[in-house]
Amino acid sequence: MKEIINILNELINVKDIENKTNLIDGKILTSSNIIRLVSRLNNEFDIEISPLDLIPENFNSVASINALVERLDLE
Amino acid sequence: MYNITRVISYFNPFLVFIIAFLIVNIISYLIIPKKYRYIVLLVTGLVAYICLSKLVSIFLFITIGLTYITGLLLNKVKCDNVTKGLKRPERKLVKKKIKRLNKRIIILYLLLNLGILITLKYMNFFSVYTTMFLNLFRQSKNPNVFNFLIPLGISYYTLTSISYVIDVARGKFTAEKNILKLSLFISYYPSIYMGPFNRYDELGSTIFKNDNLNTKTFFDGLALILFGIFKILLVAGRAAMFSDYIFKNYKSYSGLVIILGAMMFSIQLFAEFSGFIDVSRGVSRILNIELPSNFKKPFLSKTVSEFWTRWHMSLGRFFKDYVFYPVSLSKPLSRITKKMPNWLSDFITVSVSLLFVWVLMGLWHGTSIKYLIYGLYFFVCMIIYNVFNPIINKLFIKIHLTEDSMAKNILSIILTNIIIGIGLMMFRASNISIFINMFKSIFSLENNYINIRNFIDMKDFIIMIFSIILMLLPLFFQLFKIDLKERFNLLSSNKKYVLCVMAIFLIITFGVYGLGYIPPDPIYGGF
Repeated sequence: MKEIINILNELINVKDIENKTNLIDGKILTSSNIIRLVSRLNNEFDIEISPLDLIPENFNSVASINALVERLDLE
Repeated sequence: MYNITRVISYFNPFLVFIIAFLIVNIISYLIIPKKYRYIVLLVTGLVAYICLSKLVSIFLFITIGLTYITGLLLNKVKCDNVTKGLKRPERKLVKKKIKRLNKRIIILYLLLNLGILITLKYMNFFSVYTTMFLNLFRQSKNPNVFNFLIPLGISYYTLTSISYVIDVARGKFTAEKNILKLSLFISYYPSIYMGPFNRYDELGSTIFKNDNLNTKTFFDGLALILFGIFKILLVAGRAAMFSDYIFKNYKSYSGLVIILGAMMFSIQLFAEFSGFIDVSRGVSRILNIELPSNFKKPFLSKTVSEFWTRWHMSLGRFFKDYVFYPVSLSKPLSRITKKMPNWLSDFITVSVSLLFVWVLMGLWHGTSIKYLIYGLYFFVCMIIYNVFNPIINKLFIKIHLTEDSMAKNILSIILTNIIIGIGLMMFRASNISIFINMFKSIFSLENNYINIRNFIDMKDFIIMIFSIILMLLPLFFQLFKIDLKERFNLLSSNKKYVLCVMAIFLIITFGVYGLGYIPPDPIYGGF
């Protein structure tokens, strides 16, 4: 979780990001930011995020991003 | 029969048929069992479609057949290669095999499906000249002749079917085994002319829900239809008089007049396009089918990127999900950027992905160099923004400028509109050299005035001004936190009925149509 928060803080400047639940719906993360986020997540956790995973439910909060990473790690 | 076709040609044929489509389906909802409703929707839509596209309709059926077979094939690949119960290394191998097979199937499908689209569009490029030549020998030069080689909505149904196939390959849902249901999705009549682009799971969930007709959605939908037709006939029709005249006679004008022409074209395009979308959504809403919205106050965007998330939203979404993300996550690109520092790999990944999107977006709009340059223009704007925005933000932080000031927002909106306006001017100009001449003449001070009586009556001009104000009224009310839609919904059915009748009267009286008037060729309608 901590690494994810660090990565996000590198990309965007938002206070209290770990408690936000509308990163996508609230347009906090743009498509370009998502691309940057995904490439860092892929490198950091040695996983492969596919376009199918790029849905709001997976990226709206730090918790859901964490869940996605853990799920892909098991595959 | 001949007289009916003449009458139909004075109105937009798609609109005429959609009213018939609506009426027939309302009746069907009342008398036919729910489980067969979709068949009536399909049949009525196809009948209307064949009336409009005639022999060329065959291409729609070819695409439907191709899409149906490809979907089932992808399903078969999945079923033949089971991953359940396997250990991790074997699972990975099977997944790789599925991916490889899927890739081949998709590539073949795209070659065939897009191949049809590209061939027909390029043939259209030549047939335009054929039609112009034939028009020399015709008594009335009706430009609203549906181009005989292009099936109606080919770009719509081609991209829609591609989204379905890619979603099946990605495992988002299983392929549809009922070819009638798939046909309805691909050829859904209200959407086929100008959109919005639908996704199979989203449209499927609403179109097969089979809710009953009710007065709330009836008046909701009717109000939306009337608002749409109002925009098309009262606003777009008249704004077109301005922009057509100025673009045709651009050599005689410069400065503010050229800017006026560009602004009028933006108004015309927005009113016409959003008007057609409103009609489609309104018709669907009456039938309890919810289509996604396609515009969200686009001219209030603060950046060019934001504009393209507010204008023709369903197309932007298509390119995001099926071009931007796949390109940026692709193996070749990851390989190239792997050893680079973050800032460089970010820049290259985003830029390459955006390049793919904008080249395709440009060419999707038209088959000439002008459209390619149109796409690249927005590509360059976005790259410039991506490069300079972080720098400017840091500057603002240094001089302690607050994040969200009203002045900053207004300035951003104005700047964005200027950039968009220039792009739309390029879109409307017949070719790039005319656009460049027009753009240069903006900075000249001669011929900075225009006598609008050359092309528009005072009466029409006043109606246009009133119509534009009327069109902007809901937005204006929103600033005072009044939601006109909610207010309308709270009225009694009788009051709603009266308002709708008044609106119909307004449209019939002041709408631009009828004998002696040739409706402007809908700009997005050839797609």
